[in-house]
Amino acid sequence: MDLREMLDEVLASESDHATRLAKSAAIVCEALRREGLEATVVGGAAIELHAPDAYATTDLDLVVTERFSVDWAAAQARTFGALGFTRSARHWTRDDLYVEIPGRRMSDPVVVMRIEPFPLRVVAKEVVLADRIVGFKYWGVTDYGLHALAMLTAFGSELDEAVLQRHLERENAQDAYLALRRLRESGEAVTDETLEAVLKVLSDRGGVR
Amino acid sequence: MSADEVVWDLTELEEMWARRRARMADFHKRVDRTGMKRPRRNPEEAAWLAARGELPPTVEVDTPLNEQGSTPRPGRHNAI
Repeated sequence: MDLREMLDEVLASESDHATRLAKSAAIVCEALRREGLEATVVGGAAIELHAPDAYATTDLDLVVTERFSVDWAAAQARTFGALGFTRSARHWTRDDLYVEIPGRRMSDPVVVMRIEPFPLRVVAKEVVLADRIVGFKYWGVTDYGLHALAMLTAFGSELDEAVLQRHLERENAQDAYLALRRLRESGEAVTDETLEAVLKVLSDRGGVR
Repeated sequence: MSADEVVWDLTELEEMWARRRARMADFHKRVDRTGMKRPRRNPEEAAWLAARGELPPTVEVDTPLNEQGSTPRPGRHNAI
């Protein structure tokens, strides 16, 4: 099976953005798997794979688990080179795909999305949601607040509250979660100003900002 | 097996996306992303997106970086 040929076909197609991302990610992860490496999609691409209308990205962040028996530099160069990617500093690019490997350890819950012929490992939706809520609270990045609101809307009752709460509690961010839920339910406009107002309330109540 | 023999099946994923997209039908009408703050991208990624005309209307702000220069996981330990 020629993965390069498959990727050529996917990237040349004009399918839906999320479909293209899912297939591209599945091919890249399969190529890494054939090198004995387990890859998991994290970050913005994980958001899009869980909730396509919440976020769209061509930045594919992968956590590729370390294996002592594998020469990582050589395996990486072989894998991405064979798929037609070009190295650019720490990244690999091809067409509109921008692949980065920001980590080598995966300790978070993962789901396996049933994509045939290559199932795809993606960090659990509750983890990416919690990360956006925590980033909103502790870094004041309002765009993360928007992503969190979009995911809350998309996931609805499919959200595993227990898993989400566990991640929020670890970072003491349940207050930001509740505040964002209130904003979502209010029907108010979601702008930089309204999200800054949420941060101000959190700060006045003893948050970090 | 050649590329034209590959049969993709994303049925389960597409069903999940359809449910979630339906819930978001009206969400974007409420949103104006202009000026929202996001972590600063590394210069290569920013240049790559700019060249493609794909930079969103957000404002990039400094946040912590990991040892590889990527945006790390946010947490109370690296609050700004």
